[in-house]
Parts: sequence; structure tokens; C-alpha cells
Amino acid sequence: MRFIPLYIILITCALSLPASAQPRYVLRGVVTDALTGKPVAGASVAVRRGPGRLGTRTDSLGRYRLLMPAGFFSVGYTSIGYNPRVREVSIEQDETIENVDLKPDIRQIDEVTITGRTPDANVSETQMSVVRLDMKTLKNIPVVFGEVDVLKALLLQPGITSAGEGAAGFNVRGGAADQNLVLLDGAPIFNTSHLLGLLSNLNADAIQDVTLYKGGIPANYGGRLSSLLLLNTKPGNTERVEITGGIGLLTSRLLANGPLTRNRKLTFVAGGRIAYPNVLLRQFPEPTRKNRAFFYDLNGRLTYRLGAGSQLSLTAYHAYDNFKFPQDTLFGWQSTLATLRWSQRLSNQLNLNVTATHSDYRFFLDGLTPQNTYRFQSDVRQQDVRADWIWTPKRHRLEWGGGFTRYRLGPGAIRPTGSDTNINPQTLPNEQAVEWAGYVSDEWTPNQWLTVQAGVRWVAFTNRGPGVSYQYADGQARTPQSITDTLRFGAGQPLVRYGGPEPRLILRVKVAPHTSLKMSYNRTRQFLQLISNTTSISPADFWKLSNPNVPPQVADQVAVGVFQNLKNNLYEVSVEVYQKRLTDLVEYRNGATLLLNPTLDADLLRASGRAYGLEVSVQKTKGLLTGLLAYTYSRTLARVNTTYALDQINRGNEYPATFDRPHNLSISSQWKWKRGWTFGTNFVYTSGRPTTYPDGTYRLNGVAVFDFSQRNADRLPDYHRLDVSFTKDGRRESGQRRYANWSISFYNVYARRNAYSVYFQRFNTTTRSYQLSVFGSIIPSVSWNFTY
Amino acid sequence: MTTRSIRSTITILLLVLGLTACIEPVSLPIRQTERRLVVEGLITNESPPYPIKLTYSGNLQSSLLIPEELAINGAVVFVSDDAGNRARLEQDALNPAFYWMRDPALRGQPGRRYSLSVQLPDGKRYVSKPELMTPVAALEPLNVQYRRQRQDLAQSDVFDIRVNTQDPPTPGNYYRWASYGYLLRWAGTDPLSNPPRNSPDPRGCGTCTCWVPYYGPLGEVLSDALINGNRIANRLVWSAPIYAVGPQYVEVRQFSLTRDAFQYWQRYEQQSNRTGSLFDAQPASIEGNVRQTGDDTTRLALGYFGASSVSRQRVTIPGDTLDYARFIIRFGNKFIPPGNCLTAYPQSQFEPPLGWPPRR
Repeated sequence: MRFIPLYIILITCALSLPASAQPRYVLRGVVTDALTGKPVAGASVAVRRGPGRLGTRTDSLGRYRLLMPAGFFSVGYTSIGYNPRVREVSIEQDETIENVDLKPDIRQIDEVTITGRTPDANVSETQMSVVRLDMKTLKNIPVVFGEVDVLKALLLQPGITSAGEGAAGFNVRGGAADQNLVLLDGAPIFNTSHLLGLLSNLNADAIQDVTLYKGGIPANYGGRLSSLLLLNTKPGNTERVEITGGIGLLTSRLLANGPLTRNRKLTFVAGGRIAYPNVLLRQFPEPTRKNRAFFYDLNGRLTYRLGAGSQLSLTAYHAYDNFKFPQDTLFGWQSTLATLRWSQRLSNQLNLNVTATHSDYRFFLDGLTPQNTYRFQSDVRQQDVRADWIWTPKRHRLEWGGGFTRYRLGPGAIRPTGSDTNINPQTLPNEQAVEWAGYVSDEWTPNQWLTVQAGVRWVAFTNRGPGVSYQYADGQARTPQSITDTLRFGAGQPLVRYGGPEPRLILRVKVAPHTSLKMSYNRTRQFLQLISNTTSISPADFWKLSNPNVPPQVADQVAVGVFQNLKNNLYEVSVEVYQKRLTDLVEYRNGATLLLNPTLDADLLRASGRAYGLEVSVQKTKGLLTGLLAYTYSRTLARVNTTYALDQINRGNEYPATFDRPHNLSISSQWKWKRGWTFGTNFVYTSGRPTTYPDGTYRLNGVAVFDFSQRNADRLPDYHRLDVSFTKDGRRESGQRRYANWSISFYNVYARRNAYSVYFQRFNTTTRSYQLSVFGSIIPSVSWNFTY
Repeated sequence: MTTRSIRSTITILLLVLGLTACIEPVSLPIRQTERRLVVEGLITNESPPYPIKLTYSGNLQSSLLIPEELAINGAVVFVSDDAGNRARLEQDALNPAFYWMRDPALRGQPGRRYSLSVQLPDGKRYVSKPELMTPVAALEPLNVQYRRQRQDLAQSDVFDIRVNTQDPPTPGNYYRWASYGYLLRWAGTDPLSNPPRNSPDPRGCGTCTCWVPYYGPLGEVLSDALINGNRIANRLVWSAPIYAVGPQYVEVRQFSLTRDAFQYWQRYEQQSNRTGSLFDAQPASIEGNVRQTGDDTTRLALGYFGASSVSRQRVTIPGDTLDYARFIIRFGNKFIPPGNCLTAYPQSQFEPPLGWPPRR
């Protein structure tokens, strides 16, 4: 309003002066941050109305200077990360001073806080084949049932697939779901699913960072063939106690973190999620409404800062699931993890970490059929102790260390429950093993163009007694009848030893300022396998250690990639190709008995596999619109070739693995709107999963029977889906302590009935095929989250 | 048991949580691969003849039980035992693909091993692994329980047929149960209602009530691994549908199996019960104990040549405990097709089957 009189005056001025007047006057000033008062460098200052196009940028002290004609102008001040401002300015004297403060754009607050990595990490880091999830953007990704899910978000990344919608686990570069080492603060998680795989049991609120290695696995880790997923719990806020929580359609969450002591040396994180799927189940008619499901998970961590560079932390985690089928069965599974870690800076260049972990997974199944009541149980326990040193002299990063692991597995036990039951108790003997591992690895940067990371991990695995090893007759298929000898081993006696070196190598050559070429090779061994003969893993699957008849699985992977950043690191581009060879994979004889089978070895077959692929990723990490475009072409093939006809799968020919999905495209974007809204989209397209359609029919006792002679020779129809979400960030300014977020998601927006599976039935003389879709329509959901 | 319940659980769970998850028919091309020999034959401890059926797998599209192009005629088939007996089978003159073992010297005896050899018309030879006939425990009288089904699923109510038997103390016993029954059916009208207008027989329908053979599931098998030496009590083998009010006649046979035969039937059950869930077992051909000899011994036949001891039980279910009027109100004409028994049920008979115990 105060400009109005000026305006009148100036109109007369403007009229009296012809537009062709030469720039004679100076407009200058300083642009500062409204909150901090610090100068804003590189802000653009542009005259929006008036003669010609005049503009400049502020210098490092936030100063600007423009030569202008006299007159009345509208001048815009803009800078990335700030709300733009427009000032009406009248130029009527030699020098006009206009100082402006810019308010930070609330929509871009997150970006200031997200990254601990340098903007050009994609190019400058040695690591390749690595996925890092940004926990902040994770909350803006559309999700099903409103549940933010770390594992489902990973599926948008190149090279990562799953067996189907709602399937447990994930597959990395053609690896089976049990070939992923999932470590929460260093302790392995054996089952990552809630509700049979519909959700993962990792509470995104409690997790600080997520890193997945698809290749180039660091030498300090081993034990699984295909990938390494590192999850770290939040260390806890040192300033004040913060409480976050949320309510969704399926679960509610609460998490507190903050200092416990006055000196702020001891901080804590404690929280959990609890689910109420029964509310949904009860909406359905009989008998579905009688089903009951329940799950929860708890996360906790204590961190004690002993002094500069010295820290002690204790993590605990527990997840529990059950599902009840009325009158029939109740089953459940639970994971318990604990980690104690001591980190010590020994000198400016030398750091030491000592870690002890404990992980325990149990599955149980209660048979409730009258006169056949029983409880079946299986469990696995792993305990590790390890020490890791990091020494960082100039141009080197030398890491070495080692560890000891103890395994104890209960492959299965059944005992009768209740008084009137016909079940006999039966317990398969426990399996136990120890593993020693040592590694050394050096990352050497002789000059700015080259980095070499070379390492080797040496592992020695011993399956130890008490135990039994069966010897099978040569020259015939392994069956319980072909057992020639039974060797019994006493406590601590070694049944078999396996191991050897696992070389790891990465080369990075910076071929241009913003482009590098990387190459990696790694070998991995796996001594612990999940026994599962189904398309997707299920909680009833159990783990088995390598023994004299089941050698460890081995994988060799080579990958080459080009990494380039464009437009001042605004776009990160990478193209990778990989090839993988896998040996001694576990396959199953047709009709194999897996549960409670004392001679399970005889039902297991050895398979070999190969996988190769091309992964392209384009990522925009800055600005109001961010996103990822990922395309993968990959193949995964397996083969079982023995000399015994009954042991062959697919007559010894190579067949696609069940998670072989050649084309894989995902586009996800987050677009920040005004007033704290973010609009998120996902588009996913993948080739259908391989499956087996019948290729013949015959009659047995008058009943038509299908013949499935060629495994995975067919494919389900292609899968595609679009999801959108609207997230409202309740913060009005940065540093706001109490706020609430809303998240509204629409999953499968165009309601495509994606095939989950196809099955066949006979009707009189015709074969009919049916397609099962899990999500046959759009799934809306809403969740409310708060921070206090 | 475990995987089956988890399999159905996940399917239901997904259907529930998917809210609008759906199953819809799709049309898919069915691939055809080379035809394979299918062997179906069983030597029992009951007196011969025993039929052996030889067919090819292929495309079952005609309404014939065995399409002409899939029946194997003119094969040379022998059954032999480990006592040196050997008999050539006669081909049935009227029923294509059927071969009969009529030699009384080869009547099955527990403890003996039996094998089959086949020379196909194209010259290929197949032999079975010698199959041991193991003894079977006696089947005790059957239990029958009426069970109401959920009406909204458009299913009939059922009689649950349950078996009881005592497993011997030795481990390694395997069982298979096969059931069939002559179930009462109506066509055109139920007998107590007024006959429909324009009925050819206005005074009542003599051809509207009959008994029709129905078969229970084939692959009901059990190993004594978990229950060795205990009773097998009240095990459900068949839920026989109730389509009409009146007496029903059911027979259950209990077979002994070798471990190989048990695994064959397990594969059969796994493969034929595929529900489309990700918890289904991986698909594969259901191969048995018959393989080609000569140049390609890796070629296995489908089907199984078995040798089993048998124990039978029959039960006559009176069926008059059901309330006639309530049954008609509940189901109406749902299970009453138009026409009469001769047109609606080609295999039906108007008299009750012979050899069943009298109605209680």
C-alpha cells in the first residue's frame, strides 16, 4: 500500500522520460537468509517488468549490483531452497539500495538434512552396484495399506524383483530369496516378513539408513550369495526426547528417542508397531471372518558416548507373527535379535569396532484337528563375535578383521498336544556348526583418476557333531534305500569342513570430470540354505546347514558399469552389466518330503545357475521434482543334470528360475507442491513370472490329469501398475518440533488385474484356465503420522 | 498337511486383504508336447482278473473316456512275479486300451514282487521296477457324519466318510484310500412333488429317481511316519455329496503301498491340487515306476504299476434322517436336472446296487 503514492508520482516520471533512456542509475543490495541472517550467494536478481531484460546474481557475500534506467520496476529475487520474493522498486536517484531477506522454502528443508554423501558420490565413490534408500523420500513413495516399507521400496530399484505381489522376500540379480544377508545393526534377520510377506517386519521409523549391495560386496561380509542389505537403527536424538507415531489401516506405530542422561551421553530409541488385521478380516463372510492374524515388532537401542570417538551401543529387536485358521491350524513365527557394539577411535587414522550379535528365529505350527493335535517347531540360532579395524593413511583405506560364528539349527520337531491325539513325538537332531572368517581389504587411490579396492575374505566352516552322516551307494540315485553306511559323530567332532578364499575386487577409473568407469568381481559362499520347494518362500520353510552330502553354494559375479553425473550433479546416471555363475544350488526331487524327513539329503538335488543382466538408472536427487527411472534386462536360468532319470528336472535342460523376469521398468517421482504437499507416483512394468502350463492331459482312474512336463516354459501376462500418493508435511518452518503428516495413497490406480498366478481345471471335455489377481482394483489408504 | 494349510491360508489372506482380489477365466493356448505312455494298473490280493490300461497323454477334448487316438491297442503286455510266474495279458475286444490279467497263478500275495513289461506297437519297450506287495491292516466299519455346507457357496450338504484302522507296530506302512458310492439322484422332479405339467407320465415318474456312481478323491494317502503303531482314527476320506433324500451306498477300499507308490501318490496330490498360490509345489510330471528300456532309459512313463493288498468296507447310509420338506425348501430344483434319469445320468441304475449291508 505504501507504494501507491510513489506509483502515482512515478507514472508521471515514466511518461516524461522516453523508454530509450540509457542505464544511468544503480540498484544494489544484499540478499540474506531470513532465518539465519547469512548472505545467500548465487541468488538470481531479475527485473520482471520494465524495459529490456536486466538481471544478475549475488556474489559470495550475497551482494548484487544492477545498472538501470530510472523508473518503477518489479524486481524478483530467487534462489534454490528459498521462497522467491518480488520487490517493487522505484529508481529515481543515482543509487537505490534494496536489501532483501529470503525465507527458506519449507518444501526443501529435507534436502538440507538428508545426505551424508557428497553430491558426486555416484561418480567419485569406489562402490558400484549399491542402492541407498533415502529414508525421507521413502515416506513420499506410494505404498499399499499406507505402510511405509523398506523392502517394497527396494523393489523399485534396478536389479531387484520379487516372486509376486505380496510375496515374501526379494530377489537380487537372479538370486534366490534366501541368498540375501539382511543385517540389522549387524545381526542377521532370517525372515523379513509380516503377514506371510504382505509387509516387511522392518519398522521404517526406527531405521536410519538402508544400503543394499547387489555386487562388489565388501570383504568384511559374507555368508550369502547374492546381496548384502545393511540396516542401521537410529542412534537417538542427543538434544531432546522426540516422539513419533502414526496410525494406519493395518498398524499403529510409536517410537521415542532422545537423551537419557543430563550430559546427553546416553541416548535411547524405543518403539514398536502393532497390527490389527482382524478388523479387516471381520468384515468378511464366513469362514474367512473366523481367521485371525496378528503381528507386532519392537525396536530398541541404547547408545553411550564414552568420549571423543568412543561409543558403546546395544540394539534389540523382536518381531512376532501368527495366523489362525479356525478348527485347523495356528502358526506363527518370531525373530529375536540383539547386538552389542563398541566403536573406538584409536588414533586419527585408526578405528576399531567390536561387535557381538545374537539372532534367533522360530517357527511353530499347531495342528488343531481333533485326535491329531500337535505342535511342530523349527528354529535357527546364529551368534557372532567380530572385530574390524579401519586404518586410513593418505590415499589408502585399509580394513581388516575377523570373526567367529556359531550356528545351531533345530530342523524340526513334532510333539503331541492334548490328551486324545494319535501323533507320536519325533525330533530331528539339531545341526550345529562353527565358522571362522578373516579378511583384509585396501582401497588405494594412487591418483585422482584411479581407485583400486582389493580384498580377500577367508572363511572356514565346520559342521560339528553330535550328528549323523549317511553314505550313499555310488552309481545310483540317492534314496533312503541306497544308504550304505551311517556315520555317527560325537559332540564337537567335525562332520565336514568347507571354506576357502573369497576374492573381492573393485576398480574405478575416472575417465572424465563427471564420468567414471567401474568394474567389480566377487566370490561368495553360502553354508546355510532355506529348504523351500515353493514358488515363494513361506514361514514354514526351515534352514539347513551344509553337510557332507550338501556342499555350500558358491557364486562368482563380474560387473562393469559407467557412472555419470550431469548438470552439476543434478542427474545421476548409471549403466551396469553383470554376469553371475552359481554352483551347488539346492533343488528338490519331485514330490520330495521336506518336513521332518530324517534323510532329507536324499531328496535334495544339486543345481547350477547363471544370471546376467543390464541395469540402467537415471536419478534426479535435487529440486522440487525428484525421481528415479530404472530399467533392467536380466535373465536367470537353472539346470539340474544328473545321470538318474528320476532325479532330473525338466529332463536335464536349462529352465528359467521362478523369479526370472527379463524386462523391468520402474519410474518413481516425488514432486513437492506448496503448503507441504508432496505428490508421489510409481509406475512399474515387469515381464510376467515364469510358470508352468500343462502340456498334456491323460486319464487316470477316470479322472483327467494334467501333465506339466516342462518347468517354467510359460509366462504369466506382463505386470504393470501405477500408484500415486499425496503426503502433507505439517511443518510450516524448518526446525518445527511438533507437527503431523498425512499420507493418502492410491495403489494400482488404473485397477489392473495383474496376474498373480494362473491355474487350470477340467470341466468335462475342456480345460479352463483361471487367473488369480491379488489386487483386482484400486486400493486407497490413509495414514496419519506425528512427531512431538 | 503344513504346506497345504499355509497354501490355502495365503490365498485366502490375499483375497481378503486385496478386498477386490479376483479370479477370472482367461483363455490361454495349451502347449502340446510329444505324447507319453500312461500306465494304469494294480495287482491286488483279491482274485484276478486285473485290468491294465495303456494310453498316451495328449489332448483330451472328445467326450469319450479314452479318445481313439490316445488308446494303445496291439501292445504285448506281460505281468510276472518273483516266483517265476509270467502271464501274457489279453486285450479287451470291446474296451480299447484295456488289457486283462486273468492267470489265477498270479493272484497277488503279500510279500511277492510283481513287474510289468510292455512292448508298444511302435516297438518301444517299457518295464516297471518290481513292486512289492505289502500287507494291509483291516479297515474297521466306516463312520458317517452329516455335515451342512455353507449355502451361499451353492454346494450340496455332504456325508463325511471317515475310516478307522490300527497301524501295525512296524514303521514304514503306507496307506491309500479310494471311495466310491451309488448316490441317490432325482431328475425332472422330486418323487413327492406333483409331476410337472406336460409330463409324459402324469401319474408319477418312474424314471425320476435313480442311483448314480460317484468317485471320491484318488490320492488320499498317509504315511505312518508320525503315527506309527497308533490308531488311524476318524480320518476323512470322502465328503459324499447329498443330492437327494434317500439311501446312499458307499464303499471305501484301503490299499497298502510301497514307499515309492506312496511318493507317487503324494506327487499326484501335490500336482493335481495346484491352487495357483505361490505356496504350491513346483510343477512336474507325475512319473511312476515304469521306464523305457533299450536306447533311452531316461524316458519315464506316466502313471504307476502298483501291487497292493486291499481291505474293504461298505456302508449303507439310510438318509431318511434328513427332513424331506426342509431339503426341498433349501435346495429347490438346484440338484434336479430336467428330463429323466436316462437322459440326465447315462450311468445311472434304477435299482439299489447289490452287495451292500441292509438298511438299518
